[in-house]
Amino acid sequence: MYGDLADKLIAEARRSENLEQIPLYQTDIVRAVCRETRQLSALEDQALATAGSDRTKLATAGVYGLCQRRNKRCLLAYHRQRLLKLQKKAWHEQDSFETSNLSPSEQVFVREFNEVLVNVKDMFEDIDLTGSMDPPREMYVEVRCLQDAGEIQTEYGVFDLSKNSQFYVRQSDVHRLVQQKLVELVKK
Amino acid sequence: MNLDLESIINSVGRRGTRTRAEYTTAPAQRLKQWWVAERMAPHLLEYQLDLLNEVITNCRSLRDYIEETSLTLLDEAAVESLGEETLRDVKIKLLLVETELERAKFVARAYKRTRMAKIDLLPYYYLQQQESQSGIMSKDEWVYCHHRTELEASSYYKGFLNAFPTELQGLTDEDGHISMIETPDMDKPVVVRVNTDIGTLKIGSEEVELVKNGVYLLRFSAVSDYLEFVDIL
Repeated sequence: MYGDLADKLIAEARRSENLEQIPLYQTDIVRAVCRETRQLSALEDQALATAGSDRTKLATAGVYGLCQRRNKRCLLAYHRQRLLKLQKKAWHEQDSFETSNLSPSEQVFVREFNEVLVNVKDMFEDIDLTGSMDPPREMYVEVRCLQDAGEIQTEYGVFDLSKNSQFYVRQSDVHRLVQQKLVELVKK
Repeated sequence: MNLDLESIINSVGRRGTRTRAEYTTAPAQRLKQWWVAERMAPHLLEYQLDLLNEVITNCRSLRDYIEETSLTLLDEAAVESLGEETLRDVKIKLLLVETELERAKFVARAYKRTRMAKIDLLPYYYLQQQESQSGIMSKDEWVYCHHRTELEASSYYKGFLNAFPTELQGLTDEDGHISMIETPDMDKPVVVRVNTDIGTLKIGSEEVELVKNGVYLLRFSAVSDYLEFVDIL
């Protein structure tokens, strides 16, 4: 039935709403919905061309029109939910997240949005716009290194990241490393 | 350097004993109130450019102090001449200033990010508002909104709209008098504290007496004309 496919996208969006990861882009369904919309558009044109003053046919054409708009709305909802999620991730992790599940146009979006972020960040260098959104409770924290990553230069000094080593460091210095999952905070 | 160290030190351990007036004079504190209000209000509030700049300038002088002091602490001769007790004081001061800097940075960042998150949710609405009346978004927010919306639109176009009939490709259409542009929910409930006696407020068929220092749960639309006289909590 017309409209069933778009429903699947909405169900998918709802299911993934609270997921941490962004699920695989539904290329096939999106394409099929686009195809269906074009068919509906052709049917609408056809009905309008032969309708004259036949009210039944005009109503039929109207329903075809509504179906197309519904499809558009469902597609927009599906894509928007994904883009908002991507934006959130970009703010939080910048460019260090997995993009293999994204469609080509979404990958372009992520790349270009990161450039926008760099620009905004530059305007507010003093307050580090992409910094942590958790209120600072302690100046210094204990972190454990998760990977060998060599020497890392921070604002207040250099430290050598070798796996499983622990450091007592300034929280603001390591925020970026935590985002990149190079180190983890050690809970007291 | 116009850094008021005394007040920072005096305020340690006195949490909760400050009067409301004292509490609200510090720029970071005032910005914090705006941040809270911004989080609760359904649409963008007036941009606090001066206040934000004040906080950022403060951050800079705090950082200058930190750099200066850290350099002194690296200088062995200078450290020796300080004596043990003074050295401890200097270190404690440094730690306090560092903490204060992180706090101020966080408030400023949270304020900016809250506004940007709101813009992300209703970008077309704010762009439209900006055209008809100036001043809701700051210059940098407008640039951000404009860019991100362009990217979003182009992503939709490349993703699926280009396969659509031309008349359906728009993102700001008003088909059948239903606008595609989402608007904020002005009837969202907010908790407010009243600063001055406002008197009786008529909400629909009900009347509410708003007295000074009273805390009320009201629809945002009911108090949107009185924002100067209330604090959104």
